[in-house]
Amino acid sequence: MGYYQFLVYMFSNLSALARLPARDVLFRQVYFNTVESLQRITLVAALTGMVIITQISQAFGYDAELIGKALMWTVIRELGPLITTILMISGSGAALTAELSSMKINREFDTLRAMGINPMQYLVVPRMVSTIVSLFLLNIYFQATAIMGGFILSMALIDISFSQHVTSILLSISVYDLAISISKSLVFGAAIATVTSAHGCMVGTSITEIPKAIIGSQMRTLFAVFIIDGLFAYFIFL
Amino acid sequence: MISFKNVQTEWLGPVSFDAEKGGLIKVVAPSKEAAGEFFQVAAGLLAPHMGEVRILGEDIYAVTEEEYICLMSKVGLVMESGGLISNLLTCENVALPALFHRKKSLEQLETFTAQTLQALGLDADQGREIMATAPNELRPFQGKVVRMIRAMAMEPELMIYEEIAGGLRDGDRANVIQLAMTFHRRSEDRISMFVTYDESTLKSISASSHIALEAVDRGTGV
Repeated sequence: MGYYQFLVYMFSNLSALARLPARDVLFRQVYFNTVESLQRITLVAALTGMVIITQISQAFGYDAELIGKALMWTVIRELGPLITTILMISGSGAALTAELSSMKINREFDTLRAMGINPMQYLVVPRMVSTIVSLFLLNIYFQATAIMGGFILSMALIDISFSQHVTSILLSISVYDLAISISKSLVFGAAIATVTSAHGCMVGTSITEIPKAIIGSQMRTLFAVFIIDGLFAYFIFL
Repeated sequence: MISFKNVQTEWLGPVSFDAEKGGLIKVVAPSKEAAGEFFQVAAGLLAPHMGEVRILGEDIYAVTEEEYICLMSKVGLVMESGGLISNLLTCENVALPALFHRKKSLEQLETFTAQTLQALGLDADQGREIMATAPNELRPFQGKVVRMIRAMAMEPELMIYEEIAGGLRDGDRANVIQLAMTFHRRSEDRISMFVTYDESTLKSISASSHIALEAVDRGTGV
């Protein structure tokens, strides 16, 4: 099965999530992908927001409207989806490939088949869906933290009024930008889910194939995400 | 219900037999490898070099993947070792197939597990300890018990046991065989097949069919 078939398989087998054990896998994976990576995401998001605000203030002086727009353009349109995607590829994406490939090598896929359980429906579909859902949630959290955390950290360094910033952000925000950001996170999530799962399932029988699968899936996911991001920029913003 | 027709593998000579509903079959292989290979072939996990294996009327090596998986939801496999999902606790392993195939609810599973553990001479504390353990930390007897409960919870039409009593102490062996026999008798139509290379471990089972497998004649070679 290639990447395309994995993606099509996931969408055409969403009904597998109606079964309790598959749903259980989905919830566990969402918890693992989101709650267990919150610390990392919070730190990176807050620092990203702070860096953007301080750099713009340094270059153009304090301008609440400009800062609001710059945060909108960078965090919501671009950095939010992209940074959460990169963090997810390096964390949950690698874990997903490692887990699936080691289960495949230990013949746990065969064990499931012999119990009448389709390993694709029990192991792969819930993990793919959870990756998409998790990236969507993390993207929203990243953006909120980058904007709010950035302000809080910046207020400690430069004399900025919090209420002015909130107003400038609210004036700059648009449904169109939010829709693009959400679309990006969903498409990036589908890319991570597809490539990491496919590499995890495509290993043979040797344990030495696990690190190869992880490295291969990480590189290909990164390529896929940057290509998709470029296409978004070309077709939507140009 | 289960039939082998001229099946031949790397370790096994041609084997043919046919077992109908309610049958109790003892399969004795000439070696550990041959027993393992027979079990894998019967489970649909290792295609034979030649011949036909039918389970519940279907040739398991000729059906599609979907049909195979559907068929296996009616078959209970008790492997000699391994066969547990590593990222699930023991209790989750036990519950997985029964819940997936919607054969039992969580409450029914808890009751069934407790009763089965009791039948094996394990008290509630021992049962709780086993169920809360990771599969790789189970002792051999515990692992065997878990695999049996998991397969039985599916209420299968066909049970295949691999070395069910091998490597166990006399008391544990008697309990495990007693449990398998009680489970077999619970349904008139159920077939139970015991695969072993050491017939002495199954001497307390009076089977309706006894199949002695033959090793492949590999010649002496030069």
